[in-house]
Amino acid sequence: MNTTYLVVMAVYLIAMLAIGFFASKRIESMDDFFVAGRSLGLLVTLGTFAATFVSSSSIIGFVGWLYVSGWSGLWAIGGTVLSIVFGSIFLLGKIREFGQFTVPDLFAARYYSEKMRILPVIIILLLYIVFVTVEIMGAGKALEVLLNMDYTVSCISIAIIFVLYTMAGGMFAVAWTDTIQMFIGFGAVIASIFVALNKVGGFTAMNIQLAQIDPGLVAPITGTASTAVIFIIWNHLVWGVGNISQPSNLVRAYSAKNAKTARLGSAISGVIFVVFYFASMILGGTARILYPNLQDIDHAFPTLVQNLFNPVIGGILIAAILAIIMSTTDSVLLVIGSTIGNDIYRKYINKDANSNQILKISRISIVITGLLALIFALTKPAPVLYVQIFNYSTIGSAFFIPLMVGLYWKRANKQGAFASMLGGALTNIVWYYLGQPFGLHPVIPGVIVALILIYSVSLATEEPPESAIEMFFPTSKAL
Amino acid sequence: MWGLPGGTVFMIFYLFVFAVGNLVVTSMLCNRKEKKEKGGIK
Repeated sequence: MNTTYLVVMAVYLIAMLAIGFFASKRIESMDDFFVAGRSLGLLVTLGTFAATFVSSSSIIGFVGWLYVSGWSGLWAIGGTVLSIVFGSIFLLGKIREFGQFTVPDLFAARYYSEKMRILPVIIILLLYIVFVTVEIMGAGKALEVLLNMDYTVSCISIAIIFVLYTMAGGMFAVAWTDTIQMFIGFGAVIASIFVALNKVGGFTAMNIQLAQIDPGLVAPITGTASTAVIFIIWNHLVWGVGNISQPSNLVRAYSAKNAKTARLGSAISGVIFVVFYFASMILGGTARILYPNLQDIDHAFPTLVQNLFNPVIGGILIAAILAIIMSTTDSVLLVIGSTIGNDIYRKYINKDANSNQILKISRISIVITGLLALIFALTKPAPVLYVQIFNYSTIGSAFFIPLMVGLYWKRANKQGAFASMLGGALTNIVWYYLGQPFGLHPVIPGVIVALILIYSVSLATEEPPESAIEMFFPTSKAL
Repeated sequence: MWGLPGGTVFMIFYLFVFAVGNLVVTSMLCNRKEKKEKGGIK
């Protein structure tokens, strides 16, 4: 184990914890804990959006994938860019103007029904505990490879850090650490590409050498033109719908100081996102040229780090990997804490609860969730990795249509939304377990069924009361 | 260009234009909304 790497990592982790405890001094109310007092400016808003969009797999997984697939692999990010378009143009401004705490708050208010709070709460809790498990596993494996640490020790250390700073500082800590982590991660990747490109003779030289290894590495598509076009379209739909429906992304809008900041923060994060993945392609490409015989493609980025940089810079780069993993997990933990504190405890268990009681329950929930996820992660449940892909599509199938349609179609009512959310989620699950018939990703039939149900059931049942939809359609006179 | 086939160069431009275009459109929509709220646009 490299001592310098360990020292740099330790300094980094202590700094993150310090931010958590510094942020905890600012927590006086639910607004402070869940949505950072609705005070985040543009820089922190874009930082927290960018850090959440770039998930744990981004550096290690994506660089490894591009190492194998070459440039055509970059199409995979088109869907996430589409999701950012959905967010910044259609959704986040309206969500910020609504201004509550959680995504179930939004559904319950728009569809004037507590059933429309319970259903998303169940979906979020079931899927997000698995989400945290996968992230702890990812971080544990990264440290196992990079620092030669024991997997159990890695997972326990990571889980403690995640839980402590999320629990202490809430959204203030999450947003500020996200921003710092985004800049460290982004800066590290950009700095790496200059060193890596210098090693292979520049950008054009890299592409020429890749083409010599395999012309497919520089081709824009793989397979036949028709299969490639279908892949690109599906990829856009799956990630476009799945990403923007994630509560961990949507709740960021509540924390921005106004709707404009939420929308612009998301839009700027889209540009950062594309630059980040373009840089990842360069790292994957240079690793393929410099180290063509790697046994494990996930070792592409760590191998570059170990061979191209001195230990201090290498340690910072490894910390950057951890940074990116942390920035996704803290957001998910906070969503779970706010869902239990706000949507279950405050709404059903203790309706007279004060801010301190709700915060206490939310913090306890974060600790219990972290502990459960750690226990699951230590058992190394391989199928969980598949469940992570399933998580995105289930949430996309369940939430995207009731969210988008609800904010733009006044006639959508509670019966239609309930049928749509349940039908979309169940279609996704059934399609997944049927082995994805016709090669269709489950999110596609899930979204189609959800759309048909919200439209048909809403029209077949009574109109929503004017008073219920007024806050979402302020100029509404009559349907 | 850059040792890449035309289709790959197109893909790179597409992704950047998609993201930057979204930023420009979002910025225009936000400014328009602000003006509308201040009564500048009827």
